[in-house]
Amino acid sequence: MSGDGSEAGLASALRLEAYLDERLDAASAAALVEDLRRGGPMAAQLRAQAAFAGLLAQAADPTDAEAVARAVAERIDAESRPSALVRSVDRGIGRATRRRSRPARAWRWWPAAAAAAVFAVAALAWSMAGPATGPVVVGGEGRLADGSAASGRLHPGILVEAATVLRLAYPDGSAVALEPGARLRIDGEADGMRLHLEHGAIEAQIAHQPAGRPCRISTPDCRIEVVGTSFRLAAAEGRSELVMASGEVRVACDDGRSLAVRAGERAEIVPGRPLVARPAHAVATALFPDGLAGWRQLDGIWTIRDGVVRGSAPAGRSRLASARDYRDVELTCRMRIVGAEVAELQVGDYNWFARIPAVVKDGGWTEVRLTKRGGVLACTAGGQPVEFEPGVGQDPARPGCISVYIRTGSLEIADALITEP
Amino acid sequence: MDEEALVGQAMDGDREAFAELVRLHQGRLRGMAALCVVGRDDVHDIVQEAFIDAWRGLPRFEAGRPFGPWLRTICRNRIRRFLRDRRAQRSRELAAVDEALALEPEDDPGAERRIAALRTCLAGLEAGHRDVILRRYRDDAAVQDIADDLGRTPNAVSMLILRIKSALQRCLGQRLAGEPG
Repeated sequence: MSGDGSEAGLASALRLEAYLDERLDAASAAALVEDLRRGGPMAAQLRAQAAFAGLLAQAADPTDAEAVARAVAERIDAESRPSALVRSVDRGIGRATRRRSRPARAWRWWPAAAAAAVFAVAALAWSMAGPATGPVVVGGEGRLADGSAASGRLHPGILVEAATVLRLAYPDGSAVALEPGARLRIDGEADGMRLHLEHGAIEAQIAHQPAGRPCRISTPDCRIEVVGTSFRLAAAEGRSELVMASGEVRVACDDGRSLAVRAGERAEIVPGRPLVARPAHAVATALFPDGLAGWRQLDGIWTIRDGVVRGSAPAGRSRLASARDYRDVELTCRMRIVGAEVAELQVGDYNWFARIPAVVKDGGWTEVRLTKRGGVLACTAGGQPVEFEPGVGQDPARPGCISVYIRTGSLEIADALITEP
Repeated sequence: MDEEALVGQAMDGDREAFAELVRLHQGRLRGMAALCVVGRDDVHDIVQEAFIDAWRGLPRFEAGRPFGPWLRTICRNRIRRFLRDRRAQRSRELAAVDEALALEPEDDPGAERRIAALRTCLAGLEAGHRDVILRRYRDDAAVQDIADDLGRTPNAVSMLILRIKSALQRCLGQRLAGEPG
């Protein structure tokens, strides 16, 4: 462990100990790097020392196989429970559910109390509404096609648009929550629950359905058959997305494509693209969790203070780029551009960029949202779509760094979150 | 029950069968990760994520294929991802050594046996030395903190740790060679 027994070997071994302790100064780092690059017995001994430290940590670790198995089982159990619907339901009954901002490894838990509350509220509403078909509005606000408020029972054929999170309940305990702006048509129930999501997103927990009478939910792009599960389904122009929390559904499209999507998976339905189920455990994390570590200041001067990243250049451009590559990603942040008309948000190693316009209202801050998924790029600034333009213009699906750029003036970025599937 | 049957049951969603697979394979994955990553919490995270990846990937696992190599490939990817993500957050000095070490995750079937042997060697240390090693490697205490507790300088504690590790290395060699350590 003292290198080759010589003083030089001992010094090198001590430098490696400092590296393992993460307290290495620049001179020691340079010397250690030199020893490693030189190769030979000393380099081999240093590598063995590094590996031995890891084995020793495991030898000192009292965690046994049973504890590891238990931890994995708890994670699997947590991921199989619905989480997002809790947020909608809890808001309705006065409790708040916070989303964790650090890289969470488990979905949020479905509290048994919240589930019981849904059943209780649904049962009460049904007892008041009397026997008939269709779900009952149990919370939130929405409008029907004729402009009247959505309340009580929604009969088959009704189209409802949610103004706030609008919660519907069925007598069998199934619950559907429409996110604001979602438009849902309640179809007939002769041979099973039928819903058509025209636009927007719903989160659903569907009770186990009788044999031969699956719940069928469709969007303009696909239909899913549900026998008992919970999920989030979203429909936008030319694209639908399904995220499974528990159970399993089969997605089918008119062109013959079909796919089974299971708990913990996500599927995106886009005409002409293969149907693929991917892990759905994405959680938003801070883009700058450790200041500007992990970011390269390519031009200008970049600082971070009170969570606001600021870049400026006395004369000329400012550019900040991530040190790592991103493949599929969703990024949200607020931006403020001062002394310039636009800033650029670039993806895929500057292959594509979106011009974010400077604004005057709200103190100059604008909400920016970028998604890069399977080669499809989308960006909005202040709720308005922003087109992506080719920089180098190669394959938009390729992974690459994310960067921000301003030709003059200054750029501030706050509340930046990133989600990777 | 043989492993192929366990895998088949796990593919059908049997969580207890998958838990048994975890028990069977966790030691080897931990050994694999430990050769590249020192922090035991980091190793736990890597191994746990690897098992979760495997659980999610089971529906697409080809029945009849050997499960262990497939699982270790998943773990290897998790280790690489950890090292890559860590590199982005390290100081320039640490990142330079990371790059020079060029750690590449490899399966080492003997790592689990060496860890077991090291546990015995650790138990054979004198109490004071064992405490230093446990503080450093089980509790992940910084050398400075251990030095403060012992009333010594960090360099002196580093030297002490080196000497203790040398003794453990000799003990390990003897145990693996079949001699009592």
